[in-house]
Amino acid sequence: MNARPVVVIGAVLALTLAPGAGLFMPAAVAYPTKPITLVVPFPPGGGADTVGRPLASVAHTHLGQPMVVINKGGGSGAVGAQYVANAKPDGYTVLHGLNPVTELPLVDQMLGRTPAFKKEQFIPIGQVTVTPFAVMVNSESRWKTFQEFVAEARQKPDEFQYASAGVYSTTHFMWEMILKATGVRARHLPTTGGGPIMMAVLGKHVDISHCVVPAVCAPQVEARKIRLLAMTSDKRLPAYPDVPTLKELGYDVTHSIWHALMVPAGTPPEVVAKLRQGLKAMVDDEAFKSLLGKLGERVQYMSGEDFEKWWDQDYQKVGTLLKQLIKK
Amino acid sequence: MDAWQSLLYGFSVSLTPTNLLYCALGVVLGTIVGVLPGIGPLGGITILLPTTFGMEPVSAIIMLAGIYYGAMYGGSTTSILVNIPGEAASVVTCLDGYQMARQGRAGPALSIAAMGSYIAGTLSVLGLMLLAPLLARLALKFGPPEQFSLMVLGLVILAYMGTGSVLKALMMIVVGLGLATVGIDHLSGFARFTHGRAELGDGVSFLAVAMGLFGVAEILISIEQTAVREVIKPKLSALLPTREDWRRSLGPIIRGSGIGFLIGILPGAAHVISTFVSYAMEKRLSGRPEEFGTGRIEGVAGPESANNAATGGAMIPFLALGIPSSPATATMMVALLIHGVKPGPVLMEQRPEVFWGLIASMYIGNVMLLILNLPLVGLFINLLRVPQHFLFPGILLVCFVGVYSVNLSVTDLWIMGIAGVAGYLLRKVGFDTAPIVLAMVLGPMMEQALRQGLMMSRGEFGIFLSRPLSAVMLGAAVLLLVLHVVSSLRRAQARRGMKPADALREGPLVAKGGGG
Repeated sequence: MNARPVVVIGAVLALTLAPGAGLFMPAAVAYPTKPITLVVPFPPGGGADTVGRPLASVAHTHLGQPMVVINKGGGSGAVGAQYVANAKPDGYTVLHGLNPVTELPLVDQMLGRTPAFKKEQFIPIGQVTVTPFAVMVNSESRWKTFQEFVAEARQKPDEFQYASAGVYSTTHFMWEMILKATGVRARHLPTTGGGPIMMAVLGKHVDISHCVVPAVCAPQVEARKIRLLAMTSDKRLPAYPDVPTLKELGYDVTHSIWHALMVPAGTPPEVVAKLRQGLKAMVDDEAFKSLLGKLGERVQYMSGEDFEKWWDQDYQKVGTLLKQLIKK
Repeated sequence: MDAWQSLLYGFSVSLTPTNLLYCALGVVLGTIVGVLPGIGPLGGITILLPTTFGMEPVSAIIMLAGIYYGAMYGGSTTSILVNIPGEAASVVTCLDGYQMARQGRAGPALSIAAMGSYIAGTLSVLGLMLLAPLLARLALKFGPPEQFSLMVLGLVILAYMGTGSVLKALMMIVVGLGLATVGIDHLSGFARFTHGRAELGDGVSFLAVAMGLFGVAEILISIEQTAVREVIKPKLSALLPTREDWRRSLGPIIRGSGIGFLIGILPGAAHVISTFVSYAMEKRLSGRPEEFGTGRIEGVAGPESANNAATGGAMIPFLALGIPSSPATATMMVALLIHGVKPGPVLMEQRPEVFWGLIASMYIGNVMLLILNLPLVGLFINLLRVPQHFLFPGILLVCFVGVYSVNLSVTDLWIMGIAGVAGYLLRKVGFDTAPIVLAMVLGPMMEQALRQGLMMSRGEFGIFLSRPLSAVMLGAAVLLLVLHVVSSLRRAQARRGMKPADALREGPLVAKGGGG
């Protein structure tokens, strides 16, 4: 007779308690049940975008839900990273992390600024790939080799100018490392990214700069508009067997951009495990490999656990390095 | 000769049923994202990028480019009908387009915008086809000093553009430049005027301010004027421009095409800049500058042509140099790179089917857009028949969703609200708010170019005068200013002679129109 009100009250109670109950029953977590957002912290069309979008396009097969890419550019990657750091840790907001995630908190710390985010606010899912840079000059430049640049620039301190992607950007640090290793003093022209840098080199507004190998360099090299002098990678690249690495030339500088997915700290371990599994399957996907291959890049996967260890070491290393560069 | 043969080849690529379909799909989507405020060509291209991974590269670029130039057609619609720019590039169209709609001439305004867009779009493809390599070399000469001088020239032109007094326009420009300094400085990485708010790291959202100043403010003003709203109802019989409209629009369309195409090649917010340069030029050439802002068709025809032609210009650095100058072209470049096609100097030799197929498809796409947009005029105009107690909440909703969807930021909604109230008050006291929005676009680029230029010269200001291109543009800016001051002084004197009271009231620099 009055069974119905009881049922209704029961249902209401059950619904009210359900979200709380979830906390005590981690095994019952169903993830993902809705699309996952991949936050790329740079504007569309940049190096991060070119890796993130193909990756997201194969997510559906391996995670059971699509991955939607949104670009939150600005502040050399700070705006997007901060957005994910403060997002709900439920596995539905994932960061396409790159070097600035390491560098920016260190810079903030050293300059005494309120940090936009901290390294501890992220749990890595895994590394997707690594892309090195090439040192380049306009093809009409008189420098045919990196050594020629070093020789002339050493004699004329502060005469020549290099372009970076911005003050305290990852390429600014790279150039400071190169200058330090070569004993060259050159002036800095900060720009906002790879496109403006290429424009500055082609238009001869700067003397020397760098480009992401191979995606950004390749068309200009083929058209003989620019000349590559050296690689910042560990080994020579198969695509450019004639271009030496800085290491070979006797300068102990290696630098590259890593691409790694990350979620906010506090994400449940089961969700992290599922994402890590999913990412492994995604980078092994032939479709993704071939998309990346067409960009001239290849998968260089590192599992979340391995990346975590590597990242801790790298953070210390970059910290020491930045201290030297910023307090010079 | 060679180009024409290649173009024929291009048509053979783009006229296949598949590519025609992708072209149609692209331009339809482009029109839609153009009409919807908040979502622009970049959003449309970005969303559809993953779907292109499985296509032929030429189909992919045909579709994405269709969205890009199609959006410039749609952008004018909401500017004219409800005074809300669908894109940043349609801010200027609000000035006269909306006034025309209020006078029941929304039909001619929309039609001339579509036809101007068609003519300009086609002319700019022609320019792209014939002049790309030559102009690409010119674009490379634009280093930071040249960019700075161009922005200075742009600001001077902007001051002319106002519908009221030049002094008031200058005040609004200063407000816009001030707003533009908020955010993380791109060159030094320092946060300026953000008060520790992360959301302001990327600056005060240009879109939120534009939607507030135009959309929200317009609704606030309209609420006051319930009684006079009747005049907006259009006569469906008068959809097409009259012969007189055509006669007045043809010059602006041709000039707008040239301006848009040339400015489009340069990096930066080319679409936006080209519109107000075109507007200022038409105002000056018209002989009756004081009528601008009251519903002159030239004020719609010129800018709407210019922003379409800018699209063709903007494809030049991307296709001929391999350096995209805007996020939208950068995303298109990704689409090509993912297929192993490298835009740039080698594109024409290595993948002629992509280059010429794209060029041919742009001719076809512009025809499709004209066919699509002219009948839509009749449809869109019915929007004005919606009672305002439904229309206004609907517009507000679109504003809120549009602004929120870009950065998912609640701060942006507050900015829009504040800008809305500020815009309402400013308009009450006779300020034209368009210069604020346009100065916000120019400000960051001008500052950056100035600082980069000085870094190149070790702090010597001489670099802006010693480089010929830069010196010419600075000279033009000074000349414009001097001309203006002289002619407005003369006009004020003449007026003082006839009607002393008027001259006293308005003063020399606030002479109405200011187009001397």
